[in-house]
Amino acid sequence: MNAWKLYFRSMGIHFRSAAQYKASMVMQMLALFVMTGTELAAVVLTFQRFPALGQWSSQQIYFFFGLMSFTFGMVECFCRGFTAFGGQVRTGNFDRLLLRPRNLVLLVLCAQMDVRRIGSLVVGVAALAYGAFAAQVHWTALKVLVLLFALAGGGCLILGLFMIEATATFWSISSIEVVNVLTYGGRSTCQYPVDIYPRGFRWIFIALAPYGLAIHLPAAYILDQTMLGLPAWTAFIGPLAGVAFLCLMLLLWRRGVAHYTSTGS
Amino acid sequence: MKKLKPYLSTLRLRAMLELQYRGAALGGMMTQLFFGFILVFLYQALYASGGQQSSTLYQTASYVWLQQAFFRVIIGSDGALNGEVMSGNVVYSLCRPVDLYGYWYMRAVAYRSVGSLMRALLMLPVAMLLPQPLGLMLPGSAAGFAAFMLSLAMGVLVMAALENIMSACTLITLDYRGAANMLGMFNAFAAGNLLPLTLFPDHWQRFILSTPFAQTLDVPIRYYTGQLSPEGLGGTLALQVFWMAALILIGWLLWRRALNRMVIQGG
Amino acid sequence: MGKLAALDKEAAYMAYIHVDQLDKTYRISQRSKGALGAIKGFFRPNYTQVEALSQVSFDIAPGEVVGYIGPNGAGKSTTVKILSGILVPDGGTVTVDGRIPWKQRRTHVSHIGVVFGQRTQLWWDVPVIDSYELLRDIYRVPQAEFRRRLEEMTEALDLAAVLHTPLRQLSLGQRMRCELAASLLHSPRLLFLDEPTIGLDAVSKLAVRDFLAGERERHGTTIMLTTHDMEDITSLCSRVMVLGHGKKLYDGALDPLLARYNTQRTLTVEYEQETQLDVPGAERCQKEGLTYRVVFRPDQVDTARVLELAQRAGHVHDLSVQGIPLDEMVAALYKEMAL
Repeated sequence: MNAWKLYFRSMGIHFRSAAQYKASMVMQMLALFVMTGTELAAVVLTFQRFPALGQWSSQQIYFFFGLMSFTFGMVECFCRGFTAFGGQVRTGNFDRLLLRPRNLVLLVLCAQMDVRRIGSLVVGVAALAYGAFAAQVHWTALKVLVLLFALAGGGCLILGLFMIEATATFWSISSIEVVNVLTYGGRSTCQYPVDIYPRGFRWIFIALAPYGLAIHLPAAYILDQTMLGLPAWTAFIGPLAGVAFLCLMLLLWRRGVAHYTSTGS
Repeated sequence: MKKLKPYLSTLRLRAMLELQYRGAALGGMMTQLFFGFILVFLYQALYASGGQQSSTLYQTASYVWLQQAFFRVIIGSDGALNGEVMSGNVVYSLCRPVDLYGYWYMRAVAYRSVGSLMRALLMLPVAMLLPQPLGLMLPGSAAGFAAFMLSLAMGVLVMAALENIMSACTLITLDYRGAANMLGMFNAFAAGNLLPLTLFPDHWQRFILSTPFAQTLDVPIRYYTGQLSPEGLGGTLALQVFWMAALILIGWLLWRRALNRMVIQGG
Repeated sequence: MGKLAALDKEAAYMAYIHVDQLDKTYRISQRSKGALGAIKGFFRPNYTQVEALSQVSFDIAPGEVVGYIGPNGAGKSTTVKILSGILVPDGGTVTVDGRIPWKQRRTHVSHIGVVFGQRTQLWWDVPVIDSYELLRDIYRVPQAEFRRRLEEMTEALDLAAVLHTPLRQLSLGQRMRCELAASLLHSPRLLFLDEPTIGLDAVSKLAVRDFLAGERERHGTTIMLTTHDMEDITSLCSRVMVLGHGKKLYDGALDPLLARYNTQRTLTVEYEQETQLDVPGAERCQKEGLTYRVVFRPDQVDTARVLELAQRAGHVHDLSVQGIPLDEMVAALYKEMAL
């Protein structure tokens, strides 16, 4: 419990720090709002021309878009320690964390926050809420539960993907573009349900970076549709793929830290 | 010719920089290729979902590939330039014996043209090898291709003028991340990088084609895909020249204001 | 004083820090030029070895204050990193209070404090007290203990006026004092200080040194200090270790180490009236008004003899003899080590 307290206290400090420069903070939030907003605008405009996307109606796609933007935005906002880990090793900030008697992953998470992302979270929530409303989702307790699962599992997955790049810095690999394809590329790809893509291509986001399982299966359940021919109960299992992915990356991270402390490079 | 020399050296310097960072360029190109695939697959699924379209899937796919290949014409900016603005070191550039606006304009042109050309030459052949409706088509006609090239060259000049307005805004607000990100994103949207402008509603097309944002990459691409006919080239070139001149004028005035303020404030 | 005396006695048979034959070698990868070189380097990396530490051994007793000096790149920070558990050595043994730092890193670091003079661990934009409360949570310091400790530090470091001010509004000296308190809130038994007085004005330097001496007095904290400021060493440390090229070159009191570099004296003598001073064997002899400045080497001319000559020459108004400034002696020491 102390860990949560520490985390929330850290986030509080980051927020208050940012709030010291109110004009700049508002401006940057607005920028993120506009950026995610234009993305949404592009989706909305797309459906001015096309009636549907595969088995999905435009409203359902807004729901997918909102869910993805929100989950991704949450990770970028509250796990900035990992999404912007590059440079922490070089500047010696990471050494400082090693000097603290706490779990390193917790300390990295506490180290940074991206207040600006609140701007894109607003757009995400709006798209999600409007999509669910317009697609006439009948909310049940189970659907709410599945939504929470999707947020948690999807969040774990995205965090895990960002951890690959963070871990790579321990071996002095500055940037690996392949990972960008899975993080930001995954975000763009999986704003739309994975079943609209060709079979071969789909597998990248089902097996390699399982957005399809962690986020899309639950979303399909909420929207009363089936996806990839999978039964409804898989929506409850899917998010576990994200959790499993994160666990795997945590192991890799530990190896990275061990490598770092042995070389000190 | 002698007067142009500093500007030409800028161009050469940029080319050398690009070659030096070819590793990064290659990585960036792979990412761009990937994003191209996502979009092309998306439009394939959309086209399969019905509705009457004024452009074919093949045209839209080609549009996407050209946008990806030439994305540097409209997206990204010279990091060194932003750094100079943010740190206030731009004031030192005042000491150089060249017109500051012109110097930076040339830097922007160099960044956009040289960077794009290198990436496009690598990427376009790949896109052409893809199967029929998903790949890049051959230009509609030789005249269409010539119009594309001419229009694209003008597009770079328009974009550089647009970029200088953005840097002037940064210079005035001194807040790079906020203002520039927002303008950059809006530009990407309005230039057709997120959604091809040809897919925007039909009754908007007249208006869209007259905006400065469409002059950079959208109009040239329409010549390539045959959605604009080469006969109209004179008209669109005139519009591009008009926007270039207007944007340069606005940018130049903004720059002068921003620099005056910096000099008065002492950086 | 009672606690210290007890500690000193204990030190006779128990080392708090025990370091034996410590080795650390860095591998620095060297990239060949060009794309081909990059590819080649990927498959068969080209490394050069840099010996950061080689066969370094020492013991430090509890409550000891040790200065750790040496030119840049001598291996000082590598040692501190190993002792604080964030770097694993290649060879040798290290125990701190019975712990192997890198094996039990998290337990270990809860008992140590580290101050980097050039870098802050406090949050820039929020009041100092907020940072302290976060550190309290990080180190799991009980609230009562935290309050007691904070009170003690507030008094010792005169922080009352700055606790509720954002760090960015404080002067460098105030910041350093806040920094010290931050590193000591969890009452560490061992404190590493890296250039704690760098960039501070004279008053702040004295305050920092006073506080450190007091902290050691009150709690028996063991302190290891790396610095380029010799005044830090002379005013705080009973013992100094000199490191050069990864090897320990000296371990003991500072004075005897520097004695051999203290090879010159400057006599300044001011007379009441015009007079003639002659010192045979002196290096230099300058006259400026009624004041003579005589530079001599004690191994060539006896200091007593010089004084005698000076007194005999006329009616002395004022007189002083000075050795070589500390910094110059250390510079000479480093220069010799580099050879």
